[in-house]
Amino acid sequence: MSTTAILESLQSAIIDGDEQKAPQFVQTALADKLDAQTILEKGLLAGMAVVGQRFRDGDYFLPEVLISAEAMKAAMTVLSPMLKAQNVKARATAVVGTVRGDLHDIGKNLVAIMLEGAGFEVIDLGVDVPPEKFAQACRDRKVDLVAMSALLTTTMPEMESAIRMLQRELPNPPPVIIGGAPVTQQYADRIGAAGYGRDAASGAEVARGLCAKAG
Amino acid sequence: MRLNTEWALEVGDSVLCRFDALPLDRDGVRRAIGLRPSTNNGARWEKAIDELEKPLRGLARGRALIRIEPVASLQSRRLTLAHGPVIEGAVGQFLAHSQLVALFIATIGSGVERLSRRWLRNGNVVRGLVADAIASELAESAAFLAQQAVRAWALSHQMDITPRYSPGYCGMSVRQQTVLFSELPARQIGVQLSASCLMTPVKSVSGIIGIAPASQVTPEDYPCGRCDHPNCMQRRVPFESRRGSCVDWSDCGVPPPPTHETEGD
Ligand code: B12
Ligand code: SF4
Repeated sequence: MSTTAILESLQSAIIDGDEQKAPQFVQTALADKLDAQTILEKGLLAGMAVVGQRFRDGDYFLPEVLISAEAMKAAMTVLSPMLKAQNVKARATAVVGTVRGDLHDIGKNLVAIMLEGAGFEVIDLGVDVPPEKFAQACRDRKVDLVAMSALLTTTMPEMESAIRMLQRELPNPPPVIIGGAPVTQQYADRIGAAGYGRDAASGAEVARGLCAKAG
Repeated sequence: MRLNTEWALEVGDSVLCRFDALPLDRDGVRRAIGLRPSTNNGARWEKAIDELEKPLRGLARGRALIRIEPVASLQSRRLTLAHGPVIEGAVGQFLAHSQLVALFIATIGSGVERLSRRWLRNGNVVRGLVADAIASELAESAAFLAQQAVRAWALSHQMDITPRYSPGYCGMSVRQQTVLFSELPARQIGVQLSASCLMTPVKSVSGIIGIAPASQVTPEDYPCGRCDHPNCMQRRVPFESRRGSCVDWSDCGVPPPPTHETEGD
């Protein structure tokens, strides 16, 4: 199999969401002495980019995108040790968390999976995350994006508190995207969030757009 | 479904109901995931639903606490129970004609939720999301069975029930759950309410069901019966996009109550 054919097969496995074949093609690519960064960029992320495009075009919906993300995750279990060994850095780093007072984590977990699928390194702060913890995570290392989730209207104001704290405490606060069942674009605009995603797949698209803009 | 007459509900008493077998609405699960007939790879999701339905129904612990109380007064935004507690919200419309109300908390416990979380963390997205959707539907079933138990009681007293009204839906703040939790021994079914009014286990539902003379209760006369919100869980209509919020009254088919304030403001 030629290098191009291996990478194309890998892309197709991701696009079709084949979580058996995706890791197998990563193995084949590694056996073929392809470097980990090329496999990541030209195989996995290129495949996920097509998935993102199909989602934007309305050909794919969340279930399709999530199946692809699962295949991506399966492939990454094989590729990650190689990326580490070859010291390949992620395109960007995102901090994700469910805000203070809120314990609902399924939406946030899906967002984390989709951000990884978009090439982000994800630092998951978990649930019930106070504003200080978001700020601390951004001080500890260079963070390109913060993603916050909330389930109830009672915990939504914590998003605003966290955004204010990032603006107050950090010289260059990263853009914040927000989401969760009761959250709307209007609310995001009102509290000064850089973006809003109605689901995990749109969240990843918004994140990609914001980080591309920031260079 | 057969009405459940098994539970000895009594006015003024909290009654614990255990539901051994919770029915599962598979279409509800599909909707929650966002499956369409044309979903690419839809078979994988269907397979996961097939595989998980039985074990997860076995893992769910369906329980509810129900307490029926007489109403002292029912105004447009204020319901006063005979023994004193006050519930605020668009109660005048949602619980119209009620002479008694049943307060309830229903749950399926945390087993399914934990499993779903573990699968998601391990990258098993399909199983994780299917388990979450099944858990949400089973929680709805537990609430539905609680509602049926109240209905059985109401019918045996020549009355009927109004549609269910849950804090956090149109015109009633999630914070009103504090009243329900002060009236019901939630610990008996392992449910806790946080300061921000989130219940744990997460797959839990709380609410109020009105009980009124059967001749006065026509479901279509209640806001949810007239509303054309395309995707509200409280009314269980089919929804396409899983998006739905009746937090904003402008999205809802009923006029806002005079003093409605948006939470989070
Ligand atoms: C299923 C459901 C339930 C289930 C399960 C709940 C759960 N959290 O697991 C049950 C039946 C148990 C339930 C109970 C209740 N619910 Co409910 N529920 C829903 C429903 C229909 C879907 C929520 C869901 O789980 N979706 C599936 C998951 C995967 O999606 P998600 O977490 O929302 O995440 C997705 C997006 O939001 C987004 N996202 C999430 N976070 C982030 C972050 C970023 C950065 C981005 C970009 C995107 C993003 O991407 C995710 C994946 O695509 C919503 C309405 C709706 N259509 O959204 C109401 C909803 C959340 N519930 C609501 C309410 C009020 C309640 C109750 C308080 C009712 C009651 N009194 O009992 C309880 C509270 C439960 C508790 N533990 O405290 C309200 C909340 C509004 C409010 N007033 O606060 C909603 C919005 C319905 C409404 N009124 O419009 N609920
Ligand atoms: S949106 Fe409509 S169906 Fe849902 S609670 Fe409000 S009135 Fe009822």
